[in-house]
Amino acid sequence: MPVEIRGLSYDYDQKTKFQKRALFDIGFTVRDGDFLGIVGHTGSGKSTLVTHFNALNRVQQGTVVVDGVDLSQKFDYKALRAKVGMVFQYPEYQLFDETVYKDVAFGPKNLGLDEREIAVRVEAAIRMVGLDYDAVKERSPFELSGGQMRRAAIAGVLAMRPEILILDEPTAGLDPRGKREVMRLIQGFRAMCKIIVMISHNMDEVAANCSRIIVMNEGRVYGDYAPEELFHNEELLSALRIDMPAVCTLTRRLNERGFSLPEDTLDEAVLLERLVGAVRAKRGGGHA
Amino acid sequence: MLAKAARNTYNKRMSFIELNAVKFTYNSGERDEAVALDGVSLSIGAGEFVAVVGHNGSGKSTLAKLINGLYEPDEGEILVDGLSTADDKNLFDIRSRVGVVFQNPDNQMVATIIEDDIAFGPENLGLPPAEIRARVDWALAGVGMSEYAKGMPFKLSGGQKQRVAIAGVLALKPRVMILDESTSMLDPKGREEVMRVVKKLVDEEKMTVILITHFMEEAMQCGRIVVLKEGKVFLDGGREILTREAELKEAGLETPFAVRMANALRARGIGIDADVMTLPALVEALCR
Amino acid sequence: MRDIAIGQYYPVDSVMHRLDPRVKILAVLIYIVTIFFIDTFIAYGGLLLFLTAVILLSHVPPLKVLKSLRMIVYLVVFTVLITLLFYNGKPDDLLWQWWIVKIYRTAIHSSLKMALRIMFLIVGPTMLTFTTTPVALTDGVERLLAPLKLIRVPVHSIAMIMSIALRLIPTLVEEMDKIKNAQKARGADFDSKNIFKRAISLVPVLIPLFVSSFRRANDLADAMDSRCYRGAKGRTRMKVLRLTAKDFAAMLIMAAVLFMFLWLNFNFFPGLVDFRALPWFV
Repeated sequence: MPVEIRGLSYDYDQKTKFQKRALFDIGFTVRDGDFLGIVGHTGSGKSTLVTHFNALNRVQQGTVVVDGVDLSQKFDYKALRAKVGMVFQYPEYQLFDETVYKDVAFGPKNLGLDEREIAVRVEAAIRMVGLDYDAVKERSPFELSGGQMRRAAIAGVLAMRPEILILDEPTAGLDPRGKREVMRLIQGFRAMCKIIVMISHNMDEVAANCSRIIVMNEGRVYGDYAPEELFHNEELLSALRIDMPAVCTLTRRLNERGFSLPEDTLDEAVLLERLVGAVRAKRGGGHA
Repeated sequence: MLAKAARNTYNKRMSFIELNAVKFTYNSGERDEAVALDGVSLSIGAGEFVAVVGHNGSGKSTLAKLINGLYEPDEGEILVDGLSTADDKNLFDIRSRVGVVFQNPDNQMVATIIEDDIAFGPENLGLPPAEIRARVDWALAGVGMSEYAKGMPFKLSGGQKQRVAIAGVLALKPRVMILDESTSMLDPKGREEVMRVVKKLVDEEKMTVILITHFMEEAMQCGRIVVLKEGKVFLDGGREILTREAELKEAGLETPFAVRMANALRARGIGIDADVMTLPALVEALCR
Repeated sequence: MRDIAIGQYYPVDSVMHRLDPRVKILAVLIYIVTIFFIDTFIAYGGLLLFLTAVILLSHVPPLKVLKSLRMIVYLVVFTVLITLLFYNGKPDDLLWQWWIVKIYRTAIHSSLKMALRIMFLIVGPTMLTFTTTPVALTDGVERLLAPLKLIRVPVHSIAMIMSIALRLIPTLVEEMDKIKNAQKARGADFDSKNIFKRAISLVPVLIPLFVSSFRRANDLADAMDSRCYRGAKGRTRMKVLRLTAKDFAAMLIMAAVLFMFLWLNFNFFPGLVDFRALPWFV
């Protein structure tokens, strides 16, 4: 169920004096199995772009086709939103119901599912985000800790069983452990969702998780890269004011000082092995 | 043990903020009772640049509110410049000495015009109008936001909003500034902007700064690091604390990349000096 | 861009912006009272001229001012229709009739006046907020209400509440948009034709909005406390309100304009000029 975007442009406040172009002629295709990272600094159009996938933004110019459904034509909103789930920034701020169960059930209920199916989905979703179902189902979502609230909110989207899952900065504001855990959970969602799209400012996270990266810059797609290709390209990253992941920075700095480490990995463990070898050879050689 | 030894060396300095066995519980006696601080003793001297780190819920934000007298300790005592926060009569004087920049950039602006907002603090101090004006201009210049004086906060980026919030505190000319997770909701660029301003305050204004954060890269810039874990002081000492990978992990925190790498290399028999904590230092050590 | 014009300051520099807020507040009060007193087209014409002058002097783009009327369009249309359809005029006034619908000349006049009145009522205060920062506005209110302190009205608190409300409106509007989008993404339907369903569908938006308003209010209270706020006690102001020659001139002009309107409306001096003799005096 690919998402095909062709010639997509978008203006804020269209037909007013404040009209401002936010997206310029965007074109790319997201395929099944992609864990797509969308990066770019604040205001580059990342959120405006992804909110086209579930038609929160209407297509003004160009086309967006989700699983064969052309969103620039008439289509069934509910069916689309069942297919494309979206976790917004700080999703815990949208929790509203008396109990975690009811809140998570909100989405499936809107889809018009029967109670039994809803119950199955809600339980599965709550377990998928690593919460103790029996302990939280009857609790008010507002009594949970910050990290638990975030998970409950994510469960609310998962319960709709989306085939495409979009996450806008899912780890923002969490502590290091919370960040790690949420990313681990998201990796687990790949078993259910055919496509995952993640917007993030955390390049270490993107480097460690995404299979493909789209770089946005001033409303345009700047490029479409494999992670290894993007994150070892220091010139490109600094031009775009994107942080270089630490693994890549270390590799590059060492190579500038006479090492010859291959610039093809983002994995700390791989780099470590290579370093051990290189340093042993070097120091050993020096002593001989 | 180690923590205690480190603390003793700090006690030798003139302490400006003194916490003695402080205990604080949220919703005491209710179903959702939560102990935030459980017997914390700390002493912070004038001119120190201290990071307070810890997982979410470790009590680090509660600490800021206690020092500022927004909360009163259930047990123990807090002295700011010799004044106890338990006495309401002291609060005005305490708050004019200790300013807090909070987490959410949107929730600390009182006025709709930036310069009016920054004037709020000095106005409360009862200063003459000309003096307030001078302080507002000085504070705005200090954070590099002079050109936005007549602007409105909601048009600013997150980093700019937090700089305005810093200026709002700065205009009170406090001795101590506490940044209570002030960078956690910002993008990398915003974080960098705020950290640049903070370092300037430390270096040029000789301000005492308490930086509450869970970004280890930020903590690394401080002279002293206090690690909280479940409401207790877990580690307290200089930057060398960041090399204690196992203990940091236990506290739900991360070790900076360079430290992690250095530790792993050492474990594989490659000698690297103990003081290597940054990427450039690691590169130097490996090239030697 | 949101269309909540009331409470929005338009940051440019102009004569209107520089006037003392107390003068502007008083002027708006007088203006509102005037609107209720006058009921002739000639006086409305005068009022329109006056408003145009104010808008031009304020350097606020006229389009922006017109936009402030957008939110009352329905109210105006509704009022006009009701007046037109249900007005019971004299038989000789009848213009047009179809089945039970009767349109009278006087009904047209009356509904037009009603519409003008509503629009005038909105534009005036809007001009006040466009040209006055919320801080200046609340300062002005606080100073004007100062005499009430004698009877223990918490004037400072009222002014502070007003100022914070104005400050939070744009934030909450933005927040509501975000929550609405998040719930839409979970299949919520806010566009149902059924009014009852539509009201129910707002619950998932309003609850998080309330929760977040409380959180924001709490945060803000902490931020204010930590910046040494303790009410009006010992508090000074950076921008001290001082009446200047310009303000006195503005008050005089306002008095003169008010007198003009009333003269136009009530034809005080028929011996001097008889407005009633003009063909468009109604």
